[in-house]
Amino acid sequence: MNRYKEQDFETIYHATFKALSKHVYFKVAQTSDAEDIVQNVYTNFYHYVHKKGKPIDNVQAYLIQMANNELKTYYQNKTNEPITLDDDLDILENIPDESDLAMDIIEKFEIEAIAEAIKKLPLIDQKIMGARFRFELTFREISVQLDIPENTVKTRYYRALGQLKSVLVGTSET
Amino acid sequence: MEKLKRAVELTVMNEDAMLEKIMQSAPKTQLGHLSSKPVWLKVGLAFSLVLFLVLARDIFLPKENSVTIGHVTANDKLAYAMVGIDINPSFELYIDMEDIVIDVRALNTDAETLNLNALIGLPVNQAVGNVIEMAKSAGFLDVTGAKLDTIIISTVSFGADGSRLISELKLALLSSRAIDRTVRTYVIEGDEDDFEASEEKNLPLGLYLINGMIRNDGVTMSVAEFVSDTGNLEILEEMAEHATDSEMISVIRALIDELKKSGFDVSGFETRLNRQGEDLEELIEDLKDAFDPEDDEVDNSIDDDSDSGSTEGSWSESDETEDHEDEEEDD
Repeated sequence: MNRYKEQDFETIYHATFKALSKHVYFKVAQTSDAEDIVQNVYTNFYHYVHKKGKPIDNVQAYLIQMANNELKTYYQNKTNEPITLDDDLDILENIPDESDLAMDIIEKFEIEAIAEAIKKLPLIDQKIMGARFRFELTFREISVQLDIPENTVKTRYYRALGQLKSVLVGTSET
Repeated sequence: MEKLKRAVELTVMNEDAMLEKIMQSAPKTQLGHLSSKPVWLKVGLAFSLVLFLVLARDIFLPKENSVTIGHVTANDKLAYAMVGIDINPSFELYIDMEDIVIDVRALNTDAETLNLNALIGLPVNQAVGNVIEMAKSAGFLDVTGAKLDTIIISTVSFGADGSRLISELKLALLSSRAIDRTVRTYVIEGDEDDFEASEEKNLPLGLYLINGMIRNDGVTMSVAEFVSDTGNLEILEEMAEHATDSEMISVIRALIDELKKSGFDVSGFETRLNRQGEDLEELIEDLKDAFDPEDDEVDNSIDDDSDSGSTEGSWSESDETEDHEDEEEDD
């Protein structure tokens, strides 16, 4: 049994953050809610480990348990909003080819500008972008996690790239 | 694609930004966060952070951050819920998220006489049944049936949803064969404030909760004293968690299956289960009685005359008729 009293909280945080974030990210509708839950978990963990200096056998499992606990409270206090799609996007057409061009254009902009443009995407598209780039999931994995057809994930992803390009180009022109 | 990836990392679950927020809202006497900094910087930063927290706590700190998840027991275990059992001996069972008992506490000298450590590692539903068995064996519950015993099961969940635990407890009590007609049980739920208040008053949670239901002029009543008043009993009935029909039916089915596996003829019980308006609590008691072949009070009869010729629950064919006649006389 390890005592984490003397260990660096930041080390634990960085070692477990991705797994915990991924665990929570797909269980709530909004990214901001996932962020709040993960923050609460680490804050409480910090409080517990630091103030009490108690031993924990498996930190990651413990954090996941805490997250499940937070999720239960979240579901109690909030309607579990299903991910809704505003339109039917099951046709891929030639979007992948177009998206290569869009990607080239996007990469010409500053990271901060791209980040701002991402915030303007519909929530579901932000979710897909997060899953793709933050957690490096395949389209198939994203479709399973979000419970939507794989083709819809792909189409939304490629269209989101197009929207990003439009927002960035539009912003730079104004 | 590198810039887009980086931009997404900034926007979605931003690891560094979230860490900064956590460190701002967490208590500030520090783990390793400042360990590599010079002492003067540590002191300066710590002072600034404390000042900042004092001034900005009410504005910036989300309310949820004040919620403490879990409860650290006297033996340094992190529990997510506590189940209090008040018979005459009073106990506290602390459980983890999997509803496994991780710590126990005897709250009075009577409770100290029992081997509570044997409960650690057991699922809470099994542990509750075992505690009641222990109390019976040790003479804290009347096994002769001459008087009705009352057990208060109180629960508190520390930041977790307690509904599943309560449901499990209700099922455990319903199906426990240690609980028969001579024992009545009540499950009542408290919150963390109740738990803290009961700790401050040095009272078991169950006693704290039931005494809070009535005006007792500051005099704490024992469970037996409390339930000796029919008015109090009515209040307790009202406040306690009750098993739903579906919970009772699931227990009945489990008991019937168990009896069937033991070679008992359960057709009478099955008929009763399928009958409209059947008293399910009574059926459960009858099923429990059936497990003890020496118990003459087994009542598996069916009141409906049309069913009187059907096969009654029995362990042996030769005893069936005679036993049943006795039962009817007893009724």
